[in-house]
Amino acid sequence: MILASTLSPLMGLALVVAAFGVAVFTFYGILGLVRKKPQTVPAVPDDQTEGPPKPPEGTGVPHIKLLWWAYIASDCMLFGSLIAGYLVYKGRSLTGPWPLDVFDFQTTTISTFILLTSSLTMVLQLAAIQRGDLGKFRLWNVATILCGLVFLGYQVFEFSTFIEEGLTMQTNLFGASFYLLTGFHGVHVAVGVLWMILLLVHSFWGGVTKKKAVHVEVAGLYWHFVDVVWIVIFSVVYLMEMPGS
Amino acid sequence: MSNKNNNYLKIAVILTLVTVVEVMLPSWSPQTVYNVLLLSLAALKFWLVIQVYMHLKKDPALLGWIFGMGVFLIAGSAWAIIVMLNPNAAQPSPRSEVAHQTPEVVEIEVANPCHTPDPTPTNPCEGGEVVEMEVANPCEGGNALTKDEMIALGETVATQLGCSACHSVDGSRLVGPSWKGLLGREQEMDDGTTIIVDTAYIRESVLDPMKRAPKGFIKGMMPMGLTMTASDEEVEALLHYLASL
Ligand code: HEC
Repeated sequence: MILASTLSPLMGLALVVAAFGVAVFTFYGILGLVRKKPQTVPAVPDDQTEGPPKPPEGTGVPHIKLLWWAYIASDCMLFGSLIAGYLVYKGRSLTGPWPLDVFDFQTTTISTFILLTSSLTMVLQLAAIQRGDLGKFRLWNVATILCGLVFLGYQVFEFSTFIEEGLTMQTNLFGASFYLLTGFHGVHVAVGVLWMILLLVHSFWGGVTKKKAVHVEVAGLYWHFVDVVWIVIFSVVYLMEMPGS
Repeated sequence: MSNKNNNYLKIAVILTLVTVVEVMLPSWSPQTVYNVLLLSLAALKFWLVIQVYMHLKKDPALLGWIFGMGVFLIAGSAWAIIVMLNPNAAQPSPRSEVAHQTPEVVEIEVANPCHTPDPTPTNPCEGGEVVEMEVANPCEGGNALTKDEMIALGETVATQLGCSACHSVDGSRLVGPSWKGLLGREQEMDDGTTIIVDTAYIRESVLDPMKRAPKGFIKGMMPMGLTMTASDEEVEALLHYLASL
């Protein structure tokens, strides 16, 4: 019951964010696949090998990339305020469990390392599809998915251990701000994994090609950003609590 | 493997090494130094991922500006949030001013018999017993308040924290029970018991409102973190005020 009541707000959030991810993907992924007519403006404007030279675009950046960078900038503000919220409440809980009672630094370090590795596989995945190497693309794509899943698996394990030890969202300020921040991040990872899986499926339908590499690139932008956010969370939330400091 | 991939691998190795350094950082260093080191290393990793994995280094400056704007806005807002909500910040709140005025009052009392230059062994102040807050002992240390001052400060604190939005002092029922005659009144609780309100119960109601509620009131309505911006002394004063009504 405690589990259910703690996770239900997170589930609500998960649904909203996942719905957004699916909507965006449907728009860019599936519609991109269905639309078979020759495009006047190719997805990759600097791909000058075929067709007549195009007039320069306004920004020199594919629109989809501009869109995702704008999204990332706004996501930055979301996570920034959650982190600021965590810091404001830090050390002000009136009752335990306190961070040191529940944190497991070793396991968190390993899962951090795994998330960092997934950024490498992500960028290798993009390099492969930019070369047109579909086999390597799938290999690194699956590796990215696995890393993401391991990270999520650890987070589920971490949350359930914390709840067993008596820390829920309602327990104290630490619980509320911690679950909100890391839960939000976890939902982002989950959406990223979903996106990777869809890219994989899409690649079997013939929708992932060298010419459309920009679709993988924006997925990568999102993935790396979620990784970068974790870098900050790991330092601010976990490492700053290290015993003795 | 292409040159590009080698580059990506190098970055991954650097990221891992930095993480190892972060975890190994001697936590014996002073807290501020430790935090600054951690944040700089996190910023280094952040920057590497953004520049190399997310290709900001090669992409048009526009994308960097969009992202930089997001980071700038939230960094500013986060700083503002943390400074504004931090009770130890340079700007004294009206509440702490009340507490700061008291030393002047105490100075007037310096001329009292307890501080005569030639104290006799029978001086009641020499006993060194712990003096209860309730005892308005004029011989007490620098900024202890008399009972009346505690109650006055408590009233200010209650107003500042917005308790009066839900509690009246005239016996009328708002969102929460009225505070009129709180101490010593007989009260039916939601778990079926009937209690006589004592100071321990008042303390529990304020600091741990989820524990139990009076019959007819909803548990969970009373906000838990309200007292978090108050100092220990202010919370004590608040409790004195509640018991005095
Ligand atoms: C959002 C409305 C709300 C605010 C604001 C609020 N309370 Fe309450 N309070 C309640 C409710 C509802 C109850 C009864 C349920 C319970 O005890 O949890 C209650 C119960 C109490 C009780 C126990 C009263 C009794 O008869 O058992 C005390 C004492 C109390 N509050 C003090 C405070 C103080 C001090 C503050 C300000 C820091 C405050 N409250 C702010 C809603 C509020």
